[in-house]
Amino acid sequence: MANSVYEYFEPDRVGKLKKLSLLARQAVEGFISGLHRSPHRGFSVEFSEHREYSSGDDTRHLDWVAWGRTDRYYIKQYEQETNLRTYILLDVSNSMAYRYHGQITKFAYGCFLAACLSYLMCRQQDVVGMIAFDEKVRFHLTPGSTPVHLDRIFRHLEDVQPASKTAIAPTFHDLARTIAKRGLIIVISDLHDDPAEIMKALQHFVYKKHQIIVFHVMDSAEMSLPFKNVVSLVDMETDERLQVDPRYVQEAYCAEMNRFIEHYRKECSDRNIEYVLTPTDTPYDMMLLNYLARRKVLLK
Amino acid sequence: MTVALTFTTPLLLIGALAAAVPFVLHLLASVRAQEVFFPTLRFLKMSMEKTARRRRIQHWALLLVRSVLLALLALAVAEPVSRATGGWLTGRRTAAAIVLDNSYSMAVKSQTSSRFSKAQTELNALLGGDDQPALAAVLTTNGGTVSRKLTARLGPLRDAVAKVSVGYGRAPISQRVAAAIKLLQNESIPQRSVYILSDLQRNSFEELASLRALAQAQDIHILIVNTADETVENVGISDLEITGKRIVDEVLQFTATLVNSSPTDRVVDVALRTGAGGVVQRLRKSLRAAGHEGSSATVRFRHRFNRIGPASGEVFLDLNDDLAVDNIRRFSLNIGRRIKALVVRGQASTTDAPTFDPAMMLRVALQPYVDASNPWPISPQTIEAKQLAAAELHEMDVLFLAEVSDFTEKQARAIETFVRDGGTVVFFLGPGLQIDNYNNQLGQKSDADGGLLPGKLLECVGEVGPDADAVAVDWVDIRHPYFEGFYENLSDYLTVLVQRYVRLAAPARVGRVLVRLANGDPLVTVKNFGTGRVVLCTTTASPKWSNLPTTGLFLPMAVRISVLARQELTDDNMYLPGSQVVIKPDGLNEPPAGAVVSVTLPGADGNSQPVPVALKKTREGDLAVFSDTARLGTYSWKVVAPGMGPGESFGSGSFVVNPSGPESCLESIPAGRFIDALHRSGVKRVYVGSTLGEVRAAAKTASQGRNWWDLILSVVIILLVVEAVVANRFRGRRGDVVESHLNPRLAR
Repeated sequence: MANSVYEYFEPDRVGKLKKLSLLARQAVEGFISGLHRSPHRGFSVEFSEHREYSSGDDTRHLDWVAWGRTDRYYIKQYEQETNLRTYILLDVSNSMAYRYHGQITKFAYGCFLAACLSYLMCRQQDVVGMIAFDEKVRFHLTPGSTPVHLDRIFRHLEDVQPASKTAIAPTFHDLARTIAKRGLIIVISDLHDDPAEIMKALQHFVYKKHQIIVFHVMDSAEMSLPFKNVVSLVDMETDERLQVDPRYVQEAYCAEMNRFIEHYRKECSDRNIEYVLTPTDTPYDMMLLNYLARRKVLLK
Repeated sequence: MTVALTFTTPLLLIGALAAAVPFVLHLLASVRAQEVFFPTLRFLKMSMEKTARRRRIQHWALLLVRSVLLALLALAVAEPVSRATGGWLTGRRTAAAIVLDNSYSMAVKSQTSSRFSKAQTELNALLGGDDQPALAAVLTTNGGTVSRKLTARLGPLRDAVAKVSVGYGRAPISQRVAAAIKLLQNESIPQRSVYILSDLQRNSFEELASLRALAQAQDIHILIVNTADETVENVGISDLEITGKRIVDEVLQFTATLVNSSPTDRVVDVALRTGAGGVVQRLRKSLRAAGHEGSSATVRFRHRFNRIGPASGEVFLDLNDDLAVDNIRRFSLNIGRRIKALVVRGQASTTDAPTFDPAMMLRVALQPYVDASNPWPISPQTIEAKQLAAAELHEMDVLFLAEVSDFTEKQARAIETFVRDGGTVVFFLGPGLQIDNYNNQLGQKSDADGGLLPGKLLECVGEVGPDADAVAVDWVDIRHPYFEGFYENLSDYLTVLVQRYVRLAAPARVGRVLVRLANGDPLVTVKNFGTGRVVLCTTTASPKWSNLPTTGLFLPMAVRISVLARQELTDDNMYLPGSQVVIKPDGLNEPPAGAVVSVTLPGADGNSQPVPVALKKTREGDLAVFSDTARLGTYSWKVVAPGMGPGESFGSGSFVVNPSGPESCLESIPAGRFIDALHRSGVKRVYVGSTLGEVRAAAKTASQGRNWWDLILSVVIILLVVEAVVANRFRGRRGDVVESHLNPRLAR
């Protein structure tokens, strides 16, 4: 990672997404327009800090209380509130630690993707929160948009490691109950759990009026079962072992895996959830660029 | 015949336990599979549940195939042998009928020994070796019979074999083999074999391949010792044909057929030698190599014998090759006197020019040479018609009646008797012809033969003169001996124009038209009468009525009719070895008591005694039958009676014995082809080799059966390859390279 102090943030590659940010913004606005009918109102009501009045400032923002106390003119400044709250839900279960011959694991790919999305959101003044989960929530960063917040997200991503089994559905149900304000929910996961339960959990978010994007991160090896010889496969989450002669099951496995993916694609489509299959051998920036470009076209 | 399966090294069948190896390996392989991390086994489990049945079947099938292959491998190593029950045996329980080919092709010499001596050596080894049969019989193909039935006394059999020599007749291999099989079929001994010691000459063995007796003798082994070498250098005379009447001064044609059995082209000198004149002609002939077109050719010599009586000679090849006996072919002929022709002149006008004299025209045709010393086979004599009654017709061979107007009763009967006794009479009709006289005297008055004339004479038709019409001859029977071979084309025969002729009623069934006019009327007709012939020409022998005497048809026709009038002069006196020769002395009316025919054999020296043969009285006269014709050469005979001097006899003659012609073609049938032919005929137990040991070894091997190890091993290897290809069709060239981060043992 050149010229970066963060493990999962690559300025070079994110830099290539300057135009993408606009696209992303547009896209986000597109979401927002569906969620909030009110346009931008300028100043929000949440106070941030004072500064001394200078000639030309709008006198409507003079703090008369401060003037009464200090006999000096202060202008009240407010934290600019966006109309989009984004929660990135990153799967950090053990299965996400898989890579075959690829360079990065699904987990690392998810981290890069989460970092990139966080950066883009913050850059366009949206707030973004980060939640890492496996069978429980590993960390939960409330939404923010400041550079400090972004730094905090990056550091947390570096600190977390896959270490446990997956329990997506209960975690999502908890989060759906916790996240009060409606916003954008971005799920980055391999979704290796009961699909029906997962869809119920996602439906929970939908029920809470959240907009949902699912980045289904998959290693190409787990889609194709590329082994030639008999192998004893070890489940990364359960340690269960299964001896397999790929010659006999490969075809059925691929069919099953396609069915699995198609199931998510259809169910998400039925629930107005964006589903993006994300193989790890596709660079995340390219994947994101393509996705947002396609999204832009769809929104026109 | 049933077949049993045994093993050369049955101990190695323990290797069949290797069939368990695939199962063991299967179990071991399940333990040794490499452990690899995988995100979830959820989908694999679902997939395996769905493919469980197919996987199970494939697994077991694959294991089974591999086990079978290993078991087959063990089987191959143990060398399975299919052995025929009731197979080849040797020694005391065997009976052998031995056919010894002693035809003269066996006389071919190669280096130091001949094929026949090699056969004798092998036969002695068979009868005197360790594996000698309990019973044996030896049948020779060409004389010198050794035994006619199976005998246990092999010593005398060996002695008899040593005395057998080569014969020169045709080799009746099939007959001898059939006889040998018949001998064996009457025996109950378990192992029966027919041994054939021969050079597998094609002319004999192609016939043998289709011998029905062979196909019926399924339980008899046929062992053939092929004594022929691969190549032979030989040119032989396979046939000699003599054509032409055996008449003094008549041209005889000697046609000799040459056969080259050598592998290379040959140029040979062929000569005709007569007993009296030595070598009279010599020719050089090129022959292609054996097996090529042109390997056989004919040479022709023409020769006249100018002395009456026995004449002998030979056609011979002037060369030295592997088989000398077929380099010479002898002949013996009995040359008769000249043909006596009597020309009877009819009513010739004294004012006619000589060329209008039919007798003169005929005489010129029958004796064209003015100088009587020129060799000519016909001696003509001319008389007038009125002299006919006094003529000694019985001394004549042919009678030409040239435009005789009529016949007396006496003359007619004399002519009839002449023809009935074998003479030939030729009528030329002409001016002054009394048709009724002809019909009455020579026609219906006769017996069942219908009279001398081939048909009834009707009337004279046509006018004579420069402006008169003429009828052309449009057909000549050029296949009849009277006209055969004069010219190549029929058109050359059709030059005769006839202005006047006598119409003839349709010839009776016994008559045959030889020359026909364009209007369909016959011009020349022939009829057999008694033992003689009648030729009727319905126009003149002079140019009065037609141009016949001046055409190219007249002279050769007259000569040919004359020469063929002597029907008995066709004998060759040439015989094959073993033939019965009937000796019929000429002019022996009443032989004295005790008279015999004394035959002197060829090659006899002064000490050899002639063989006396008794005379027998038959309808055809006294004759003797001589059968001891095994030797080649000229046999001379004479009729002698007790008390006669050495130089005296009642008649003498000679005949020759030549070798069988087809044997000269020394072409051996390939052993493989012969065996195939026999197999196709249903004969399975037939073995061919160049020595007795080789043949016996082949029989023994066949009896032991076939060792299948090589075939099984080949099949196993092929199946292993196929199995490897099929079983590994999804595998890459290299195994899975699992990185350390995926290996649970290394990752933790």
